[in-house]
Amino acid sequence: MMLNELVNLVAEKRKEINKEKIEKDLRDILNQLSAMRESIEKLKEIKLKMILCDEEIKEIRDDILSTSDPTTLSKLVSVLYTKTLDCYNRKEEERRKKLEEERKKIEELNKRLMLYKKIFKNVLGENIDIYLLNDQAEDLEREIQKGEEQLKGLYEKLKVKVGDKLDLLIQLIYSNEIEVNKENYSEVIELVKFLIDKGITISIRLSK
Amino acid sequence: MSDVIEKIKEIALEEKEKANKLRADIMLIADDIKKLDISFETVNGSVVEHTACAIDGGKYEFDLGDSYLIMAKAVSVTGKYGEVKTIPPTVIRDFKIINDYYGEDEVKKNSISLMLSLETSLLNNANSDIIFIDGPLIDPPVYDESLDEYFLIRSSIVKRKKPIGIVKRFSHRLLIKYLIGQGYELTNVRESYLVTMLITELRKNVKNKESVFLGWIDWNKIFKEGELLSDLNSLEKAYRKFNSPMYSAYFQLSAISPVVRIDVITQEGIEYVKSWGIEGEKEVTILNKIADSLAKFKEEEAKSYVALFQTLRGTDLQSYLSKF
Repeated sequence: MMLNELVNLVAEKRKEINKEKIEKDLRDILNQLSAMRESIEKLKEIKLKMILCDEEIKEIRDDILSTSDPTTLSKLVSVLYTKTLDCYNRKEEERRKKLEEERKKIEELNKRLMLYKKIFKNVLGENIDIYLLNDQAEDLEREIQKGEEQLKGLYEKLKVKVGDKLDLLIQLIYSNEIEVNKENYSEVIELVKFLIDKGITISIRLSK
Repeated sequence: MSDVIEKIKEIALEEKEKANKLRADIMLIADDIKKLDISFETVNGSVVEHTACAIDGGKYEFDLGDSYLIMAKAVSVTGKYGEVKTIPPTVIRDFKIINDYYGEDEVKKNSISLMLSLETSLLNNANSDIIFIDGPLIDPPVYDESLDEYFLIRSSIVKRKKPIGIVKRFSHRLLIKYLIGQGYELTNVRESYLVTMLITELRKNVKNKESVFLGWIDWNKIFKEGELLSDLNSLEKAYRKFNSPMYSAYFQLSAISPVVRIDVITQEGIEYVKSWGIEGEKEVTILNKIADSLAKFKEEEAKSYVALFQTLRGTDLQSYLSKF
């Protein structure tokens, strides 16, 4: 090929090159790369949270695995990211609420255990050992179960010693007062007699 | 090896159970506190202008080979409330030689006696409105016949001067004895542990910076009623010999400060402890803190006395003096 032919060929090819198209393609590739990098960061962030939400994200995860188009891939990862976070926050809130409820329950059970201990000590003059529940225990459900069993046992022991007046006595010790009415007055009198026999001073207050 | 681990695990679990049961007992006592004739209160009273001093003592025993040289000193630090003023402390010292065939315990006992005699002497000369002393008023809190004369003197001075004893390390189960008398079951628990836990429980509705006290425990009632706890036998003998009213309260300057026992012969003075108090310090008051640091024998100080003694004993005064 002669030199002048070569020069003509290069000039011809140069005319054919669409500079704007190349620039656009390059921009697109760069954008895709950036989106992929972002997707990787998102996946890193939700890596552990995805384990908790396995069932809920199963479908979209399968879609991601079967896609090779970078644009679709990053869109799907964005959806996965939002879904996982929503699911995780919801589960976390549910867990927090459950924990709060269990701790509240433990607090109530401990209060009741202390109440029974108080009845034994201050009414019956007996010292009993109780196991106070730990609201920081790993298995709170088991702790609650232990507390309920313990309470049941103590209640039964008290029932034998106090009799039918026990619920009224629990109410009295719990709130430090009971309302006397036609329905319960004979039971109250019996309880007052029982307490006086145990050497406990009772004061009576008229509410009107 | 696994047997050992199992054994340790078993003991740890037992201790955990015990601590849990004790926590319930302490919560019950805290709940019942208003029904008992000791009270838990915040210390709110203010104090007028006054002078106060703190008395503390220190001791050092040095083995000379054939005998012990014991050194003791007592320090009194005085302050005027509301004024920042430096008043030189009073320091007195005494020395004694004890033959070591009595054994180490006897040597220690002697050095404590020497130190307490010096402290008592400073107490006798103290003329501040308020006097704090480091340790219990009945000190040593045990009795033997050799202390007869000392107890007689100290008791008469204490009755006259009415000092406030600040007991940092308390172990006598005074509160436990009182609570057992009220029907609580508290065996195998240390006084310091019970008191700290109880005050922590009672403090739940009190601001952290508030000073609180739990008392007064009347020693006469403690020793009069019910069966004595083994650790109180010797203290009771000392108390009877001391022949003075005695009341104790537990005091905590703030939630981050240690709990101490306050011993007095009349149920007053807590507000003065508070007014001189510094947070977080086991000596409680600034005066006691200074007295404590001055009363400690530094090794160099003790060794220079030993050197002086050895030189003089060897009648080699010249070689001793040549060191200076």
